[in-house]
Amino acid sequence: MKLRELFNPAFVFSHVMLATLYVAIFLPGSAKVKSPVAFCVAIAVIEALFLCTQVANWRKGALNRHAGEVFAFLWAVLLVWEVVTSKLKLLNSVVFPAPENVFAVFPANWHEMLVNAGYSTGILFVGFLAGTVAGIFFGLFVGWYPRLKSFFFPIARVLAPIPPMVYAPYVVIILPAFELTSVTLVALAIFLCVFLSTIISVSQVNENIIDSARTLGIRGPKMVLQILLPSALPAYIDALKVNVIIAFMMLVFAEAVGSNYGMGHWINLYTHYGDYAKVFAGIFEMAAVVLVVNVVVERVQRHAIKWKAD
Amino acid sequence: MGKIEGKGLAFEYADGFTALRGLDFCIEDGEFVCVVGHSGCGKTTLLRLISGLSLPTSGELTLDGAPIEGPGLDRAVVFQQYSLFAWKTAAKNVEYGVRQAHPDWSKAQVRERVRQALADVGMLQAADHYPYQLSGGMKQRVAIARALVLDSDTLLLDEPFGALDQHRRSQLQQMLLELWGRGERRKTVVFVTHDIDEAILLADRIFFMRPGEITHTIEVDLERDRDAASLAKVPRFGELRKELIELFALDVDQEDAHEA
Repeated sequence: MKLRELFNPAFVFSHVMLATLYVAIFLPGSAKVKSPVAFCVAIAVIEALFLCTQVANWRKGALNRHAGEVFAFLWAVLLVWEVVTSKLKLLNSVVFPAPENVFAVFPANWHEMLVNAGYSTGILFVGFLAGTVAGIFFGLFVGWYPRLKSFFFPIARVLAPIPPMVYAPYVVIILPAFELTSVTLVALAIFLCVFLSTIISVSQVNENIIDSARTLGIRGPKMVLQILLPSALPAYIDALKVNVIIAFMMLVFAEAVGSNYGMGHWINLYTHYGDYAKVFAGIFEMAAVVLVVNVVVERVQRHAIKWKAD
Repeated sequence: MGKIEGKGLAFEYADGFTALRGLDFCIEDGEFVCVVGHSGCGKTTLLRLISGLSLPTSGELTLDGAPIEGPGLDRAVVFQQYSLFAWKTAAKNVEYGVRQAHPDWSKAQVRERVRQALADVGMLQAADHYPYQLSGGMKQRVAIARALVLDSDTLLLDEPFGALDQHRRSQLQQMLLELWGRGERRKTVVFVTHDIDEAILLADRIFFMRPGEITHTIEVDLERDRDAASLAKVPRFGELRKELIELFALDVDQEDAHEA
């Protein structure tokens, strides 16, 4: 690919917006704000990631020519935020903190925020894994054996739409530890979704695949684990990102209800204190973690079903 | 006693439709039998019963004198489509068959058998390809390889070349004949097709079916070592072809008369 394709109009425009943002940051303003260093560093990190991704894709011949538009929009949003709060002080500075004050939270509280991110990610991973494994395992057997299906499927269809948040206060009371509560709520939210979708996936497995397996002498648990499980996998992998979102939502709720750690707890706590700079910082931290998790999920998706045509 | 025998064989679907009505037939050991007929006449149903994937509603169906009570490794089956497991490479699909048939074999034995089977069907170079990376013809070659590694006495094929173009179909027909003709003992083959030329090329005998029954059995008294190109010049091929075309045409006329 030619170099000029890297410097396409969207790319150039995004950097014009970036330059404008940096100029705006260093202009004098009406509001009293903290040092802009953390804000500038955050922008630089995002820009570095954008550049690295673009160059890497350009080298592979897979450049996304419209990626610059997304970043131009991002810089524009930050620019508006900067001008409206820090420069012109048009909004209440408590409820709408300036970006300098928000990003200054990170260096001042990096240890606690890192612990929270680690705690939340750990809960998410354990709860997600538990819910997924249980959902797939039981879903496969229930989907395969008609007697089980006729009993469990109607029950699951009734329970699945009920938000697990409804069970949260009860789970908090009966379980001994907050971590267990969070893991249980995340697992429960994921289990019902995965259980139902796995049962449906089993019913959609091509009959010839099953006949093919039967002629090779496969039956019973071997049929479920060696044939139905890989057959149903693409449907589950396709839904992985949605399930991660559901797990995240449940996690934040669970931490807000009954935890002393975690990103959800942080956001809930500082909302009560009215420290919205920390609330915003918590939201950005969560967005960054979600982004990393999505990248991991995409890698898993690509690797797990590499045998499937695009 | 024949290899596969049916006596008064009948099959009725759950909705009451009778697919087979009192079939009587005998297939000898090592014989290559083709089953032909119009769509819906019961060819596939017959094959499913012999494979054990379905069980007869009434009558008897035996293999080596014992009733067929379900599918088994003694009868290898090749379907028209979706025989292969999409999540396994060509080699792994064949390996799966080897391990099912020979669970006590060592890794080296299994590997060698897989290599040999893929070489026999001309698919060694695509051993590490997934089914989605293979053409229809290539998939069927791998499916045949997997069926052959089971080392079963009986091979059942349900229109395996039906979805292929003429050129590839010819290639695979020749490959199948060559593989069937190898070794000291030939497998018993039941091959379902709607292609008259294919049936004459491959078969020792042809069962012609009308809805629910075998109405004619035709001996294919042509020399073995057949190929499609030279067979077309043989007068007897023309006679057999004419006979089968007339049977098919009669079927269509009767169907039209019935509808009128």
